[in-house]
Amino acid sequence: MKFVGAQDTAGPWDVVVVGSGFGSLFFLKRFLALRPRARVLVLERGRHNDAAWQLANNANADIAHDATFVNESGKEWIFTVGLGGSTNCWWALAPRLHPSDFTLKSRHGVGADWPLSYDDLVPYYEDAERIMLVAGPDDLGGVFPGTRGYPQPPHALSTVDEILRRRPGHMHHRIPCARLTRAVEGRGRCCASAVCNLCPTGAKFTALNGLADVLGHPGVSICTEAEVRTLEVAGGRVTGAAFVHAGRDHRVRGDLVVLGANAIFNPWILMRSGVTGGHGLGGYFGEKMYVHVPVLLDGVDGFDGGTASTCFNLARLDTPQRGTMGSVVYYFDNMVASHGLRMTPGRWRQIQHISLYVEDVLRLEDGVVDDGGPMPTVRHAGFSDYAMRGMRAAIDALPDVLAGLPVESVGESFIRPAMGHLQGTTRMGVSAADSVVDADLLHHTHRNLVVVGTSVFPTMGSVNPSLTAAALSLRAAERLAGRLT
Amino acid sequence: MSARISRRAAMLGAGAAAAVGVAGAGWAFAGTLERYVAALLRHVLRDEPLAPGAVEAFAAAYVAAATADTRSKGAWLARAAQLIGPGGVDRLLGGHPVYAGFKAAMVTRFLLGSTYFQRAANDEPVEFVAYAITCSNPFARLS
Repeated sequence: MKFVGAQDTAGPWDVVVVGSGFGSLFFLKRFLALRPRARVLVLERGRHNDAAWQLANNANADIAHDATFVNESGKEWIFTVGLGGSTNCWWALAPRLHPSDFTLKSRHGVGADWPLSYDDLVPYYEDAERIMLVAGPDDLGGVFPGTRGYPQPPHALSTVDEILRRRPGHMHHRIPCARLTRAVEGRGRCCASAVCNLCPTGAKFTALNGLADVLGHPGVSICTEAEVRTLEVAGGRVTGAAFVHAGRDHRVRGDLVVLGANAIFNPWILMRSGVTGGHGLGGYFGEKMYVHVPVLLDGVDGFDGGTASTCFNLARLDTPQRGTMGSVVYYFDNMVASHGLRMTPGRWRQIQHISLYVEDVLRLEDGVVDDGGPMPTVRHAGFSDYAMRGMRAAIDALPDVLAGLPVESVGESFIRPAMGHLQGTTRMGVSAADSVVDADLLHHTHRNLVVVGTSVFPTMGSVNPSLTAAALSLRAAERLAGRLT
Repeated sequence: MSARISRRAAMLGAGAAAAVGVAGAGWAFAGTLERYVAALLRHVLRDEPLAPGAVEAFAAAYVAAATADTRSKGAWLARAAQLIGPGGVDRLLGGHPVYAGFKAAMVTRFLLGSTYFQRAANDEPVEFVAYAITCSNPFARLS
């Protein structure tokens, strides 16, 4: 990697990239493949904390994420401030969104429709899965069309999974995840320790281990500890960015600017820059509800699956009631160290921890504001009744989901503080009347500005968003590079 | 099967801390998280042959590795345990999912970091080996 000091960043650059998470680096992955001679500057607010540093310090970064914004929401929001962004802290579950997630408004009358379809993304999903070396099954095509197998074989099932998959017509599927089942050069296989935010073997895909070719591309220069606060704008175009490094102000010039800070900082930077065109800037912010359900088993041992979460039940991925309640996916966890054994001596393993991922609707009034201070302010009214109804219905449906499993009882559920799936605030749509960016992630009014990452999601669905963010970036880069040549 | 959840259950952490707020007597502040962790382990594993010093060694390692959030919440539990003992705290908060999660994760850490699951016989003393964070699922099938 070529790190440059702030004094050497002025440019001009072909591309200036703000932030270095999924959205930014997958964009560069495809853009540099098509335009290998491009001169690119990556401005990253955090530092380069490599895998060894992260393990030694029991942390993904040395900058506290919650000290970078004012939280007036009463809810936690998790992300990593460092090179590679949240590719460092993610847990590497990599399913695709469901086709229905792209047409929520037209199918169910709530939320919004995306300006592109699931089918539009299929080739880019496949590319992202190849880049991440996703391990997964070959039987998901019935739920996620176009899924034709994965680069790595799936992880071993747990005994609970084996029982639940015996039922004809089951919806208990293996989860695609970007954790290796087979070692590759320099990276070990998953050890199922379930400390995936600090993967001890290198099995988990991160930008640092899986996009080293991008970060180390000869055309890419990286400036860390560079806090971008505004974009430079002139004549309806973005001409560069202004950032603070070690207390000093710096300016860089670029022909194309890619904004991939995250769903909190993307809108804040735009607001401070006066790039306020487009509906909903800063609004429609949220994430899924993350609910934990312990299930006590009678005579069956848990925790013997091959990775942290082995299967998910997709029965409530898209129900007829979705107009009034969120969709839900049941993740079957295998996390002995973090969730814990059953507190019954002699029956320690007779428990199955389940995580519910519950869809919520993104509301215009929830979001990020610029109150003129040095940090963005986050306001969120809490989970809506739409999500609460979805969660309750999912718990009521547990007897069906667990049919065939010897269940002793279901313990009390609780909502975890945060999921780390921040979404909304610069959503994509057809025009500036309904959104901030278009289907190619180009800003509606500033056409040399690309906004990447989960901030562009109009709806959230009930699965993990990172693979989709990566696929959207691959597609946007391909279409943009095609226009430039 | 049945399960309960409410908006109240979403008030993470606050419920557990508030429930032990009665433990505000000044002398109770002498209780430390380390002593509480050891006492809770002895309470949960009261029928197991714990080797001398095993839970104390684990408790020291646990507290050293604890996050600020865990230390903060654990401090309140430790103070309450000074008043009513770890069993009393367990009876008071046992149904609260946040407390249950803390207890299960902590006890599991001890069991995984000890000889508990590797003993040849159940009457062998349980020795503390190491506070293992990584590669710590001995039950996983990896192929």
